[in-house]
Amino acid sequence: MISLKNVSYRYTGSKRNSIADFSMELSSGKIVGLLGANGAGKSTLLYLISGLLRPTAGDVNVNGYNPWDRNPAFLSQIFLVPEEIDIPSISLESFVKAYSPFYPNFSEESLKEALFHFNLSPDIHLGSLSMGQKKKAFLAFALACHTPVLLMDEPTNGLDIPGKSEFRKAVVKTMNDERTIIISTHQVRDLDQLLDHVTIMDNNGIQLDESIAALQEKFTFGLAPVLPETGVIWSEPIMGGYAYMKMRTPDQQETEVNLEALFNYIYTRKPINAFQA
Amino acid sequence: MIQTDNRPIYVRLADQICDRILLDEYRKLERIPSVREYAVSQQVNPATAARAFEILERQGVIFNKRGLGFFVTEDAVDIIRKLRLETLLGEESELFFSRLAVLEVSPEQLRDMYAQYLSSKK
Repeated sequence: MISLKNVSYRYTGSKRNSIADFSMELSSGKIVGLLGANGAGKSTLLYLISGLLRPTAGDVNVNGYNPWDRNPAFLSQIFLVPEEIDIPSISLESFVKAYSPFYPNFSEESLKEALFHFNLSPDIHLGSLSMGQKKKAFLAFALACHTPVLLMDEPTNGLDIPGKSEFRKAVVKTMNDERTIIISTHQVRDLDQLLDHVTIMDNNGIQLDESIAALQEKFTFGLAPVLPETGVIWSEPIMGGYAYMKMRTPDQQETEVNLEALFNYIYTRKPINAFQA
Repeated sequence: MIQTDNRPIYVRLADQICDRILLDEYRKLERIPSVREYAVSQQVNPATAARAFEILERQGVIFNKRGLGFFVTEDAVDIIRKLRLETLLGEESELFFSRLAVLEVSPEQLRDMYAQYLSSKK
């Protein structure tokens, strides 16, 4: 369980809060997509959850721990994959030897399997890898740690095309009911099929926090040469017609959630909440 | 091009399993992959795959043997054919028929076309 209560954070020297009066609760067993425009505070949120930043106000609680206490028992339960990775120029073997003892659930087998699927050999030297390969090696290690909480900031950036698909498989393989995975991303098409839950935020807080199942019940999404006559709440011209989002009526079939449409709807709508309306 | 298949992933997964049963890839009374194996191979959330299996179980296409996994039912093929025919003649035929009507195609013409199609497939 991850819970934030009225959390604000302001970077030193900044005139405004990066996160303001932010509250959310996440139960375990979920893969959560964290979406927000550039500068919306997504990375800041991940740093607050992992104890890298201390909230200016409010409380953060992760599985009973206050992350800022940086209790070793807490740190062994959480892994953060930052957007830009800085790993030492040593062999992967030395890296694993140095870092895996911190993570009691670390599995050598999961690591080998992930490396194999990422097309990396276990005897690589981290200093000789390309940016994308470094990311793959780090992701493989992160997934193999089997921490109850795994936070990933733009994990698919820099991955090649087969790498993205292997990444999705590896996430599903290491997922279980005790685990919470939060993935912050702009690459919604890389990840949408993995998500249970979507959180859309801006600097003023959470703008949407819903399960995919609830979104499928509430809205339908489609592409059509001509817009439907009723119920359309968002649309955008595309080649050959329109992409649209509309309120679903109970007799209508559910559709797949179009996260890009949902995101644009949330960011362009007037300040009313469709879930309260 | 407008891609019209906006059905949820769980519906498409269920459909895909039905295809495999019709193609005899999964045979009656044989075990199909587990929810987790299926989720991994299709790179989808395990809960989404579980939803697809639930639909198929409700429709009587697969059944659960406790501790052993999911198996194709004895009548799976008949059930799938019946359900697919219902969808085809129901919602899916709507657009086709409305276009035929606009083009004033007579029922006889349509019958001949279908007969011709069948003989060309032989």
